Amino acid sequence: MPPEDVEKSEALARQLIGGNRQLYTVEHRYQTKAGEPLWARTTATMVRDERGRPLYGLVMVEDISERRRLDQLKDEFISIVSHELRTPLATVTGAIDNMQSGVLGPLTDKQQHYVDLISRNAERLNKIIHGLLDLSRLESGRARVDRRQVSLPPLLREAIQSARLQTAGRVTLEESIPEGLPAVHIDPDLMNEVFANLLDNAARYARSRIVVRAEPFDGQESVRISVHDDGPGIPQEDLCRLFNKFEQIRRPVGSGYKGTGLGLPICKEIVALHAGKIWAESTVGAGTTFHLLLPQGAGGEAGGERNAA
Amino acid sequence: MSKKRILIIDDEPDLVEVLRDGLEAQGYIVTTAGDGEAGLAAARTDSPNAILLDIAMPKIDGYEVCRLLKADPVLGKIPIIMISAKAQAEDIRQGKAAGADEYLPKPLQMRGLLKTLAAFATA
Repeated sequence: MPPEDVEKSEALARQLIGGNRQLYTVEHRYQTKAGEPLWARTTATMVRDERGRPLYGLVMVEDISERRRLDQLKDEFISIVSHELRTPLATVTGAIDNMQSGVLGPLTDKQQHYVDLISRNAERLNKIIHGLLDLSRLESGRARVDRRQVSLPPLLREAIQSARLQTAGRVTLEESIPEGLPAVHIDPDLMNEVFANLLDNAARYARSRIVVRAEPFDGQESVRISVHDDGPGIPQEDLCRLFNKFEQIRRPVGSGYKGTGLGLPICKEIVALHAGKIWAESTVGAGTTFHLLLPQGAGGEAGGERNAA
Repeated sequence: MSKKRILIIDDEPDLVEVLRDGLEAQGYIVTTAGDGEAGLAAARTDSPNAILLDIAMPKIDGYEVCRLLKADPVLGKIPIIMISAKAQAEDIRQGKAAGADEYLPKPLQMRGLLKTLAAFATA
């Protein structure tokens, strides 16, 4: 097992014994005696007595090599398909681009309307292809993760600022982000994608208002970030499906465009890579809040985290 | 200012047509080649100010075309803008390693392409 994997497992085991964690699951690559790669998934939990003292650990190890092999095939397939899809899409968007910029002369209102409509939908198709590629990389553990100590306020403000530009005054964005937040150990590019996705979702469903909050949580152990919208809300029974691929439970407010159905699954994968948590709370009629919990350290300090794959 | 010449090397005739229309409307002179081999020949004969180069092509792929052009003492000076549906960070790194001056993922935005050409097609 690679040394950084050992370190990570030890950190998780310490959290388990210390009671900061109920359960953990990790996937590691080993080598069999014959030199074949072997993937194993380890799930561990701690059984405690009535006073909360650890009695014994419960560990389950599964051989998941076959699943990993299938994942890899799926990845390759998605990568090839997305290239093949993008090539004709490039011609469509190029042609539409030319029409929009008047290369073929002026358009009638109806023609202009159709051109805009094709352009919007081609862009959506492009986003879906991107999302599929991102997601398949994240799920297979092939995504490059570059974690470092990051101060959250500037990162969050930047995401909020670009959301403001996109919503163009249709909704107000309020923020409550204290300067003294503890720094977190994250990949800023990946986490920025999470913030952008949550804000994009909120903007699609908010009636008039989005509130972004960040606060220290669990002493100073982690930071909690919440994104609230005052949209129609989600029934309790649908909340658990939110993070599934292509589940679009909610209907956007007004004439809002539909999402790709991949944003939240991508968020979930990125947050899991950071040993964080993401969940949603909602009251029908009052709005929805997405919460994000980012542990401060989690994993080795120097050099960030490498993938075992 | 004399008109700039752009060579498009891409095996997708539909896309080439669209790019040609868009660039000609902006006053560029456009020549085209449908594969890597023809592209290398055209780079010699057409003396373009910049080259738009696709990657996935039959016979000689874009990476190889790029390496061959950049190794040439005269042609090596022509700016090469790779255009490809391969848009992952790894693909971009590989394109730059082959000597590309710029890498634009497909689908291209005409506005972004024009900006890039304005920056590179100078000499």
